[in-house]
Amino acid sequence: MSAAAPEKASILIVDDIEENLVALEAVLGPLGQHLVRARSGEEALKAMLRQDFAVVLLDVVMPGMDGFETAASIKRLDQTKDVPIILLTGNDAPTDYAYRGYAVGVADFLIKPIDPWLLRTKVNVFLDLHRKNRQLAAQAEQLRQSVGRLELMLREAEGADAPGFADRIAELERAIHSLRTQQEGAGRQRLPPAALS
Amino acid sequence: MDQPGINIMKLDPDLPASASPTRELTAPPGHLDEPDLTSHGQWVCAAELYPLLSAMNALCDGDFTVRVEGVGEGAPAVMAVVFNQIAARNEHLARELQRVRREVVRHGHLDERITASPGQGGWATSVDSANQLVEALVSPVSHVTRVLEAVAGGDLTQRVDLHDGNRELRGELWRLGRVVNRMVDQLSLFTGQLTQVAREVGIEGRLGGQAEVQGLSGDWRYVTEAVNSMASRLTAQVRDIAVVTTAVARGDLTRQVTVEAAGELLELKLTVNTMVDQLRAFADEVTRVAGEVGTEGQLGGRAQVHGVSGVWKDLTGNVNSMALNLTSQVRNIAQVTTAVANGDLSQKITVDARGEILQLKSTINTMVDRLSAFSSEVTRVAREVGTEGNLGGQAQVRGVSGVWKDLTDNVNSMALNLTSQVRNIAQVTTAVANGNLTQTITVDARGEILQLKNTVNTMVQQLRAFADEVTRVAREVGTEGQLGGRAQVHGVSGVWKDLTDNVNSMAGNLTSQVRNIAQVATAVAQGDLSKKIDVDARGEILQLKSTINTMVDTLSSFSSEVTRVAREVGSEGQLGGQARVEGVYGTWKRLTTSVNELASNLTTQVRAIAEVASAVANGDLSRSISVEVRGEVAELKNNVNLMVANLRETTRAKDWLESNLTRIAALMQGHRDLVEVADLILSELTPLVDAQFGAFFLAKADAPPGEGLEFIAGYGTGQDSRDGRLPGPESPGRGLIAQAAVGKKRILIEDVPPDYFTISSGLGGASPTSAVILPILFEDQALGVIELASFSRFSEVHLAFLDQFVNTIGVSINTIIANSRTESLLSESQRLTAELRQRSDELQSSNAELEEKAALLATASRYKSEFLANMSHELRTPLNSLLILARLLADNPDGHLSSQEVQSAATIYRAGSDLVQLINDILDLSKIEAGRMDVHPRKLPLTKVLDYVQATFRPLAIDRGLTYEIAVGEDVPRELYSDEQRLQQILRNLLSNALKFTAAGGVELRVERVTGAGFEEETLRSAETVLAFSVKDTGIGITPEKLATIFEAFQQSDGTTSRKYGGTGLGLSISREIAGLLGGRIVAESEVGVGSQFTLYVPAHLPGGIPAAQQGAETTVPAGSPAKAVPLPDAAGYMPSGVYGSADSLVGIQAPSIPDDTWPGTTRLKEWLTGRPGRVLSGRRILIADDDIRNVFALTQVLGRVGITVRYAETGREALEVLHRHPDLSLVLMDIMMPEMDGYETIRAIRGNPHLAHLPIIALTAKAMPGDREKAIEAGANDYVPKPVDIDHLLSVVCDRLDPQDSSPAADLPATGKPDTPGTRA
Repeated sequence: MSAAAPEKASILIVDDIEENLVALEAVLGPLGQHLVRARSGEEALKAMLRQDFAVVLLDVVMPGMDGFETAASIKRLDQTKDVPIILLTGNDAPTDYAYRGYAVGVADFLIKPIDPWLLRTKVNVFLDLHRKNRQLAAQAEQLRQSVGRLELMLREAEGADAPGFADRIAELERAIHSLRTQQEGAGRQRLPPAALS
Repeated sequence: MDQPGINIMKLDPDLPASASPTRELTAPPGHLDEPDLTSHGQWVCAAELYPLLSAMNALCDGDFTVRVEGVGEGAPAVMAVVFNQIAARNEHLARELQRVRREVVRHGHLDERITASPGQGGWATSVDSANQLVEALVSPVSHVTRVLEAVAGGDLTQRVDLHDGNRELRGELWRLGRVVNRMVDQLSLFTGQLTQVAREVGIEGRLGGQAEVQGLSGDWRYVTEAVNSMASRLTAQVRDIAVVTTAVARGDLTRQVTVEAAGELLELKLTVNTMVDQLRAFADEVTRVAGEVGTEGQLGGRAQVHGVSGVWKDLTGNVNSMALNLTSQVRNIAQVTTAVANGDLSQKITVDARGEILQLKSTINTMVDRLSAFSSEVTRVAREVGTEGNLGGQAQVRGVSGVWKDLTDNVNSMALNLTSQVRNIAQVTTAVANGNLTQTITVDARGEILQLKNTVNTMVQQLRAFADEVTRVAREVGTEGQLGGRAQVHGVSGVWKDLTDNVNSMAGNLTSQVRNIAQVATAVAQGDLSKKIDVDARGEILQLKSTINTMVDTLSSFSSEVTRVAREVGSEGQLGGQARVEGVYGTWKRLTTSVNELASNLTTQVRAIAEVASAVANGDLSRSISVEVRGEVAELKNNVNLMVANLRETTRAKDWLESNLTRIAALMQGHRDLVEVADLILSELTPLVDAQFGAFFLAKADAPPGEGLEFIAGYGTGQDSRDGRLPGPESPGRGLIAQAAVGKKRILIEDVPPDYFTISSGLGGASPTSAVILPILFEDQALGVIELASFSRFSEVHLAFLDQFVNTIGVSINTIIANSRTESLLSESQRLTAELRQRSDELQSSNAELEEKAALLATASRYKSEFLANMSHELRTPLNSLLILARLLADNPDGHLSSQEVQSAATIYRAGSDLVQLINDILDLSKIEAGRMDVHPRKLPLTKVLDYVQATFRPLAIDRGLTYEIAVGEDVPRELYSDEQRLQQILRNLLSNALKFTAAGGVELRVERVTGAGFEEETLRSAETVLAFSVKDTGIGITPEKLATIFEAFQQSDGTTSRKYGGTGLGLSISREIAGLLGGRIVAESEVGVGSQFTLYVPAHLPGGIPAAQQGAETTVPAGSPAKAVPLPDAAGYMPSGVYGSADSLVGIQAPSIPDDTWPGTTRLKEWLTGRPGRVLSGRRILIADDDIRNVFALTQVLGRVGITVRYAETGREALEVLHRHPDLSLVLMDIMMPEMDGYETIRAIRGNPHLAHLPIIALTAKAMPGDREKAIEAGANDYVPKPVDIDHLLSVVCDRLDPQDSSPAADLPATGKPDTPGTRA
């Protein structure tokens, strides 16, 4: 909730029932992020391809592609697999739903009726994560650019102290690499369900 | 300011003064304005100055040799001196310069320098400058010279120093130095390379070395290359020659030097080849000769090598002479050995030989000598032994050894052996000839001698066997009388066989005669008189034969007569027969008379007995035998008579007895009533045995023996019942009657006392004389008793009759009893059967009704459950959002709402929550009722359960100001095995009830261990440990009437309380049902106004598989299998082999739990990542327009893997927008089947935009219809890929479209009809 968040993140809410979407919007509205609705699993997947999301809230019971299938598709695609998913389900869900959800790779599993405060807190965690990922990505990009510049300079200045530059570039590349692994680690990181429930 | 160019001239008066009028004026004033001039000043005449002037002119014209002399005095003299000095200095300078030039240019002395000028100032500076200039020019040259000298001297290490002192050379000099250095470098490199090559090739012999030409240029390069080519050619040639010579050295003469060569090398090559050819020819010849002589044995062959000379010729000659020598020697040796082989030992080898052949020759000769000696000796021995019969001779061969010695020894040992064998055989045959058959030949022998030995031994053995056999037969027949013996001599023939046969035939004849006689005698002895001696016999034996035959005839006639009589009398019963034997006398006659007498006596007696016996047999028992007899026959007669009398008597009693038995038994048949039968028995039996009184007592069924005897019939008993002696129906037992029943024996009373009882009639009465009591027995059980009394005694016959009859009665009575019992049972069972049938009918009808109802109920119940499940879901779905919204409103985060409104929102929320709870309860209840509630037992620490209830209810209790305690007994197990959720649910319900209904006081949860013995539930009784969770409160309590119903659904302790306390009233019934599922129960106790206690009893360890959790409820659902497998359209139907790779190869790093079966992949990911596709595809951005999101995901995934970024458009319109917004897209994958604006239309729209006219578009369509392709191409697509997409095909199409230069497209891509010029929009 850093006040200095300049860009809005996007949250995808997926439910086939209008009321639920309204409720979710009411709960998540105060977070001040961009909320994108999807009325079905297919719509959710389409939205996933069109833009980046910080987190997806996904109803399990939907006609057509249900929550599990949608989540599985999202988790299979390289470009979307790091987006955390929170599954939502009614409280008469069979006991294996949670297990199936986690097996597919969702980050969390919430049972309706949802406590607004709880949901907001959880979503906020993922928003923070998303923000940090973006920062890391930006930093990595900056570094990559500066390395490119340095390489260019090095090429132009013939006969200069090449080993020294090479060392520095190697150092920079190491730094970028570590940044990238951190970023990936952060992307993969899932909040342990126990900590949230 | 110097003016070296000014000539100093001698004053020359001839010079016109006007020659340089101005020069006078322009003469340097500096020199002329000397102060001392002023002293002479004005009087200097012009004439005096002329020589000076002309000298100066000469100086000026460059003649430095000019001097001014002879000028007077004064200023002109001074001027002349000065002028001369100037000229001298100039001249010095010029001369020095000339000298230095000459030295430098002509002689190359570069160390020459200008000597110091006599002048100062400018002069000195000029000289210095000039010297420095020279120095500057010379020093690099000398450097270069030094370097070049070093180079010339072969030292290539020197370099020109490009620094002159501290100063760096510049300009031309620097270039000079650098050029020289570079030249030396190149030289050094070149020479280094050449040296290396030369060393490798020339010294070390490493052919194939090449000089490195890198860094060399120009002629150096050409030279180096020439050297290289020389080295390589040399290498090739030398190698080839080396190969050939190596082959020759190894003996391979087939190789030729083939490498191209010229000059000397060519000569070498030809020479080597010629050498090889000659060698080959020579070797072939030698090989041939050696082969002929050595291998094939064709002696006499000669090597013919043409065109050889020198050593080769000598060699050939040698080989030939060697072959010749060898041939002659070998032939000689062969001749001798052939002679030896042919037995001619007189030949010797005579050929000249040396060395080994000589040795061979002498050896063979010695051998022949030896052989000769040996053979003569052997011949001698053989003659002595074989021909002359002088056994014992020995060969004496001197000086032989080895085989010859062995051979001699062998011959000697042969002679010795033969001798001993022949001697042994001779000994044995002598013994046989002397009749001694015990000897055998024992000497060792072999071969024919062995055969001879065996034959002789066999002969001796056979002789022995024959002698033994003949001896044995003679002894048996002659001495021991054992006839029939035969000599068995096996394997004999000739005379021996004849002899044996004769002995046997003799023995056989004797035997048959003696046997015949013996046979006849034996037959006579055994009574067979029919035999006669019929054997051929002679002499004494014949006399014996006829005597015996006569005897037998006489005996035969006598015996036949006696036999006839005996047969007639004894066997055929023809009494009166007499034997008639003719021609017998003496004993035989007396015998015949005796026989006849005996026969007549016997006849009379037997006829008398037979008469009586036949009368008896005919039933006439009145006869007796009256004939007079004696002895045994008299005894027989008496016995027969007695027998007849006895028979008479017995027959009568038996008749009576049997007829009566039969009669009464027949009477008893067909009766069923016991009393009737008893009456009948008494009425028949009593008069039959002359009794006047009879009573029948019947034992009661199942009464102990002797008791329960009941009087049922009497004979003559109706007379006087006053005395009451007769037993009534209820009399238990009566003395002797009971005794008879107990003892199961007849009791006979003789001499009955007078007052025993009276038998009376109308006229009077008297005591009976005797009485008999008979127990009626059947299978050793007394069925009843009969008592009879008579005035007379009972005869034996009567008693015997009674004894027998009682058995009959027993059988009859038993039959009757059994019948009556069977009958009653039968009727009873018939009655019962009828009743049963009735019941069964009733039951069946009610059962059918019940089944019908049950089916209805089941359906209704299922409908109800389904309805409830659906309803609750339907109810909950809107409630979920309602609750969230109400909660948000109640939270009033923005403070917009009034407290009233917040209150309302809170109420909505609370009511909604209650409603959800109610729905959950209903759902739970319906699940339980439908049997669909699952129990998932697992290990469960007790503290976990208690922590939960503690955490949940303590705050509530504190809120309500109640105490809340949890106590755990000491022996409570720490760990349970139960369903945590369900256990919590029950406890939650009980505790929330307790809290709800308690206004003051407290709530206590107590966990204790109890014994399970007293429970109804099997799970509790058999449980090792039973836990009791007691929830006790101090609440309002429940009345006893209500207590009974609180567990029923929709019941609360008071219908009205629901208003006050809320709640659905389902909690307890759910809890009770769940407790049952957990194998336990809930017990409630309560007192109104005091409080309630609800106790949950559960087994600490829930026995496995309690309410058999619905099929698979416990099994884990396959991880993450999406609800439906969603194949791409027709994916199953379209599977060209090898097209769809295993998806794992592409997305192998996916979580394993996600099945990858539906997304297509490529098997050749690596190929698409490297090479041309890698260059072309990586980093591209393309657009996919498709409304089938699964397909898009699959394609995005695969394309992402090969480095392509995908933009997505759901519709044609969106595709256009995206293309507009992102001009960096290099290709479009366009699905044809899209809603709104289909693919064709979209493609046309894209083509309509001039910016996008050349953008490559690949059309995708689900139906591979024949016309699709043409339609797509016509619309403007560049290519066409059918769905389901074969990824490899798609990628190759994409690759070709993005990089059309390389037109080696996939083979299955025919060139499109419409040639496009797809611009590569990188």
